[in-house]
Amino acid sequence: MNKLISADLPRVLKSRMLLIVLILTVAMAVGSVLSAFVESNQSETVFLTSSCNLILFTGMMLPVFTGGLSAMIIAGEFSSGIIRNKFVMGHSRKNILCAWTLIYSFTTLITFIVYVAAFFITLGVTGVDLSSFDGCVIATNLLLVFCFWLKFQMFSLLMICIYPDAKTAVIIYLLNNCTMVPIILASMSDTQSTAMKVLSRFFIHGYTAAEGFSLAYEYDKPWLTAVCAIGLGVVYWLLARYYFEKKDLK
Amino acid sequence: MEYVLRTDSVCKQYKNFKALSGLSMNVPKGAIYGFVGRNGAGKTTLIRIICGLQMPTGGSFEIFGVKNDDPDITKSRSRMGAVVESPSLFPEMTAEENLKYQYRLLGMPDYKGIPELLELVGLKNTGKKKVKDFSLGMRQRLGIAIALCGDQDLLMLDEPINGLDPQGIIEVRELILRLNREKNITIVISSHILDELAKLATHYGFIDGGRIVREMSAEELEDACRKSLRVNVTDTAALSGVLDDMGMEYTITDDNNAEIYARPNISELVFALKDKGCQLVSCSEREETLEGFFISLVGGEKHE
Repeated sequence: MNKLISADLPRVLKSRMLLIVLILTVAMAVGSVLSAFVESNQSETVFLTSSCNLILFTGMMLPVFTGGLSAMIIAGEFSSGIIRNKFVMGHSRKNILCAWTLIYSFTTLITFIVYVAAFFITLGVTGVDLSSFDGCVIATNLLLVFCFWLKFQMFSLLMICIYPDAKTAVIIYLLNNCTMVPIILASMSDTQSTAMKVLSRFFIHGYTAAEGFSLAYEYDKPWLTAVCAIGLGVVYWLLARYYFEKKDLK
Repeated sequence: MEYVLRTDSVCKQYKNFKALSGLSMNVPKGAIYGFVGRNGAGKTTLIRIICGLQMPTGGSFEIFGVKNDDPDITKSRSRMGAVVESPSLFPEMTAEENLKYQYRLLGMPDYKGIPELLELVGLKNTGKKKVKDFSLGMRQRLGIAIALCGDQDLLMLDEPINGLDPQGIIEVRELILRLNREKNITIVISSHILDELAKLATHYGFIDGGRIVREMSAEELEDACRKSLRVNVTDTAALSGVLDDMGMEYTITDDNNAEIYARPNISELVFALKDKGCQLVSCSEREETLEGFFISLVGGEKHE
């Protein structure tokens, strides 16, 4: 697997698509803060609340880009036939999938760090007083968001293992958007339902929408939500492995 | 004989279609094995199975003596290179970058072998030219170079000359011959371009309907295809005596027919036979081409 990672990681890190994703990430983080700044009408409290809401919201959109990145690059391996070389050289399907998982989890981490850094740097540039933030709550929520990003990356791997085509990135985008809105609406309209609460722990949209919908809000049992999200990610990965092991490749 | 690749009754069943139905083949070490069959006969399916891209639904195969259900099959595969259908290349990279990627995949400690490989396939002067700007022949040769990374012992080439211009065909042919002769690499070439295969192959496997209908060496094929005089006589024992006296090579095919692999003087033959009380009923000259032989094996009427 080390050989696969050492061959693919530099290629992915140098890819134009990753650069585009990072630029989009920075743009969305900076854009979220700046739009909140404009709308706050110089009220620091409103500004902080709005930017924390917006950054969480855009944070839910961004996994589509990181997931799309892996879908596009892996689809490229299938369409160019590069994946054939990996098989011929004796790399097992399990190792190939594990290498993809590690590489694209790493790119997800990079994108996440860039996103968070861009958010806080922009906040700092606006001169806002960040001392009012509860650092522990923010860090917990950020880690939770990252768990959701990873879970989405596993979903993306599953989709590309089922349907290895560049169009899969579009399918991932559509599925994300199609599920996000109903879950947010269901969570907002039925916050008392136990079933909805359980379901929300698997989808950050519902989890955050049901309560504060802010990066600065202290949510109920975040560790349980993280476990649920990662658990679902593991299920996606196992399904991806099942499909990939069974798949006849051309 | 030592074999690098053997398959035993390999089957591949897709939902409603049987691509391979008990295919058995044996590729001797050091051979150029021509895998001949019409489109859809199952050539590419078998290559995909050997390369691990697809799983057989029945039968087994072994590469360098390691069976397909042995975990060590991946190690055996690492001694093998393949170009399946089209070369697997990154179009945005140069030839050298593509080879470097391949070296990293193989876990090679350095890139020392790359200039030699590029020279071997005639691509050493491509510099910073990206693969997307290469001609089809150049891509094919680069595909072969990639398949050769790591000093492979077995090369599987699926239709390597498809779509190439005459110059490209010559280049690829010469490269294949050089690899086989100079580096003693065993090469399996699937193709339906028989004339081209005839210039390369030392062994043949004729495939039809997902199974091998005949496996033979180039010498055996040459014998089967060589020019002969087919004669029909009333007594083949008499004919045999006459031909022995004339010092000619022949084969008695049945009670009344024989193939003579020479050009006897017909008048002399007729008189000699008459002396032994045998009549020459008919004779015709026969020269089987590889195409003719293939058609006689698989039946031309089924061709789509």
